[in-house]
Amino acid sequence: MKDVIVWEISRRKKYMIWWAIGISLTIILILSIYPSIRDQFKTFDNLIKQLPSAFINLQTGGANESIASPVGWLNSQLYFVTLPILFLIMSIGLGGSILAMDEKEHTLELILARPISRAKLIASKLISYFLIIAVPWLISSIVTGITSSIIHLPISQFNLFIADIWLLIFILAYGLIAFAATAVSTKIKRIGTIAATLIAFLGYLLTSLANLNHFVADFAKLLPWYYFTPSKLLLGNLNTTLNIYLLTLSLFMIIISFVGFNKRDLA
Amino acid sequence: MDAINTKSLTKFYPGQSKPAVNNLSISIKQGEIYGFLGANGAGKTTTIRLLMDFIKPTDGTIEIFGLDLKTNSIRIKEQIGYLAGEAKLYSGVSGKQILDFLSSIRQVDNSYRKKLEKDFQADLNQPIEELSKGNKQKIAIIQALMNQPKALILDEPTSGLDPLMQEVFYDTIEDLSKNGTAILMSSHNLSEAQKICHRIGIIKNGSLVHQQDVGEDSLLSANLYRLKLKFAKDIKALKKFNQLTLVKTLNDTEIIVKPKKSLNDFLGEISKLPLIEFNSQKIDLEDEFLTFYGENK
Repeated sequence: MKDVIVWEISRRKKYMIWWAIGISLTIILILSIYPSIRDQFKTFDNLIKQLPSAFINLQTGGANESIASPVGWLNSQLYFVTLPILFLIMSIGLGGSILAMDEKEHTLELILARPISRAKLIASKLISYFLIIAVPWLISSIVTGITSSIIHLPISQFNLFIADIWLLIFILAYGLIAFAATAVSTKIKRIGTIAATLIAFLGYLLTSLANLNHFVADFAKLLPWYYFTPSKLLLGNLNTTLNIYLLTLSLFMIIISFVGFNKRDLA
Repeated sequence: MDAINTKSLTKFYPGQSKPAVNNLSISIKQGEIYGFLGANGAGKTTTIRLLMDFIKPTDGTIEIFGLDLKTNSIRIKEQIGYLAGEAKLYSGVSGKQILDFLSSIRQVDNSYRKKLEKDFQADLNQPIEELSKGNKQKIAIIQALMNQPKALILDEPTSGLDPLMQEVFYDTIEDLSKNGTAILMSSHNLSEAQKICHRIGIIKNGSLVHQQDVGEDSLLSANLYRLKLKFAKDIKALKKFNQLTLVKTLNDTEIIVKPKKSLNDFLGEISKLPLIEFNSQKIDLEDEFLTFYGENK
């Protein structure tokens, strides 16, 4: 199993490196703007208040903090939109391909022709998926911590780390939806990726607009993004609802991946 | 003990009314090279994928080394080599990296691996996508053989290989066969099957329609008869006879046939028609194959 994991990761070294570099540069760019915002806090805050609330909510998810505040800036510019979207593209793309691509190219057969069970193969793919996402995530977390220190962002490093952990669990869950679909059937593999993307996009949209309309809020509550509240995490308020929701969803996806792949024919 | 044994193996794909493999029973002894012949879509690859446990049978059983594949897949795969129909290899890496990775999953004898690399003159350092079909095939063959398996399952193994490398391949699997490896190989190349297989099976529409030894005293050494008749209508009349099997129609008045049972009965039937020429010729595997895939079937 270890050999398969090492192989999967070594084949995707460049993929990990480029994602890590891209996300890190985005973080540095966004955070490096903050000192100039901080220096003109009131002007910027007044400017933002003039914008339509729906537009502001798309950036903040309805958080109360001013965008010009440290928590508000991190939430609106990094944690609520930018980082989730970047990592979701990565996780859904990887989750939907790490098994499916090898099956499509019939290279899965090279492994399954050897004494390795389907369960071990799925476990290896899942661990590889986790590690391939975790490396750029860890680098981006470190870059966030260091950059926020350099620009003297008045925020606890611990709270930053907690927000990053919640972000990791959040993004992994979506990729697992795509992964499970490819493990269960070759026919629904695209549906899995589309479903994960739709759940993510709708979740973001409905959560952003939830406090404008009760009807929208009721729908938003069904989706994970509603419970993803980085502004609260950055203030040290842990949100266990999100984690219970996502961990349950992830566990369910992992179980159906094992059961489904074990029973079905390879393409 | 048979190395590979299937009993009433049947596979229906979802949504298909006809089985891809139908009630297939074959057995291959240790040291035997078994040629699995059939037209495209006959069920060869489906059978091979069933034997590798890549797909599950609808009915029937598979035993390899006396073990039920359903419950002993991992134990069985410790001793099996497998080559897919077309060289299916990872892209973006070299042949050496692929062989190193696959060697790490199942232990191989490195000296034998080196010998195969040398014999096949494999280009191991180029990225796979830059290799020709034949060079990819060499790497695919090496990965299948490098653990010196006790059973080998090969789907069109010489596809893409030049004649020189085909000879190297034949020598290699003959050596493995002498050491007791049971080999099942599907092929479109009938002369290849005739050359290296000990026994062949012909599959048509998922069913095994014919099995026979490929030896000096086998049916393949039996005679065929080339008949030239006076009129085209005589050929039509000939096709209705019971004592012969049509092998090949050469033109409107010439035909190759094979007696079914008694040569006397066969001669009795054809003597009723106006014969212009009557020649005997040696049957080869192609003729045998055409007997089952020819016009009269």
